[in-house]
Amino acid sequence: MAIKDPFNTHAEALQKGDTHSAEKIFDHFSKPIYAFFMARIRHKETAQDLTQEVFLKVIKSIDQFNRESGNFTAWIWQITRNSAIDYFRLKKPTYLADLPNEGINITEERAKSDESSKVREIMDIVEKFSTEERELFELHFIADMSYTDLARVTNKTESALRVAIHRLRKKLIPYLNK
Amino acid sequence: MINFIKEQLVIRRLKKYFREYTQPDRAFLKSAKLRFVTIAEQKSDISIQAKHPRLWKYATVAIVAIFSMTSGMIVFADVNNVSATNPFYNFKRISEQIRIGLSSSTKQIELHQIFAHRRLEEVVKLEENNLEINKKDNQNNIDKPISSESKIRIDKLNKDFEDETEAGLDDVQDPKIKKEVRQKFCQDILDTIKKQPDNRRDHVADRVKIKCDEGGIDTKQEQGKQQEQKED
Repeated sequence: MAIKDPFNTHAEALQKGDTHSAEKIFDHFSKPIYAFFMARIRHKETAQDLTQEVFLKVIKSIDQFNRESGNFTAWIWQITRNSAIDYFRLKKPTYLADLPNEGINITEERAKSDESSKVREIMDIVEKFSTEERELFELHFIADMSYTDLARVTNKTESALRVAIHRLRKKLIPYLNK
Repeated sequence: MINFIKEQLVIRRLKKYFREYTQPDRAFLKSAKLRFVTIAEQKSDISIQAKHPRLWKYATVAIVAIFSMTSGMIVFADVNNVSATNPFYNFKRISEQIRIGLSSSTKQIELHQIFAHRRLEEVVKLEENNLEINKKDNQNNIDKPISSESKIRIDKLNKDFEDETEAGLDDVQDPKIKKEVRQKFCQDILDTIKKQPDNRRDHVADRVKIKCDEGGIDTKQEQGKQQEQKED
């Protein structure tokens, strides 16, 4: 059963150019979207660029969004995921070549922080998980998405997601306790 | 239970680490938000047509309706040759202007001739109307002169007749115009003036004679012939 999304109303207002709704949408989605890109790409400037790109795409294609049959949260997250896929498809060779330097820069920047080294360690572990598990990790643990929003985005039931996240947690705990 | 609490604490700590790591800059958020809201605002300006589709539809229908009605009135006024007192009279004059504008030089002479006839007919009708009104007023013992409005209208129609004739005369001066056409025009105008004799139109008749004689049309000879035919 489709879950009603309160952001559909804001999306409809945005189609008419309502700035108040634009602000609401930005305030709600900008931080988790940035966090999602940051976790995937691990590069601040690129994450910022991609976040901006997502919101530009939202404005560009908001007229195609159908309030009655659509779900805005799922829709904007689909744009976000597609942007990440497009980024890796187009930039993969360059990114891989640049990765060691970027990694050193990030490590240097955060060298004093145990927390950031821990983060990088966990991310390296998560990268070895399946795509579905990795996405769940990024959306739930990093983008701090609720089960309701996760259900909208992944088109799964909340109970199925609770089980999947419980399993993911069990998988992560041994690494976290190290 | 203790394990569960431990797990929760570890996960909470993990989320805290990540929150710290993935926290966007305030400056970035501010500028990105401003950009997003500005573009959204521009979108509202661009989509005025999309926002008011009914308004545009009604406006188009109204324009088409006004255009159809106006052209209908113009055609009606011209076909029925409405009198100068008719509310559609101005539409008839517009139609005449359009017809002159769209026709060839030979056809224009013919049209000037027709319209000059029309102006005189209109003058005559107006004068007749005034006479009838005066008669009625006299019967009712009302001493009423011709209204200044009618007088102005009659004078204007006489002037329009003169203008039509002048325009026709200018056209017949064109060397491309055949002699027969010129002759026909001049004779027709002179006949029309003769039918409706009035000293206000004498100078028009004189101008026609002068112009037509200049153009090689012997109006005197033509008039003589007509006189002879009448006498016979």
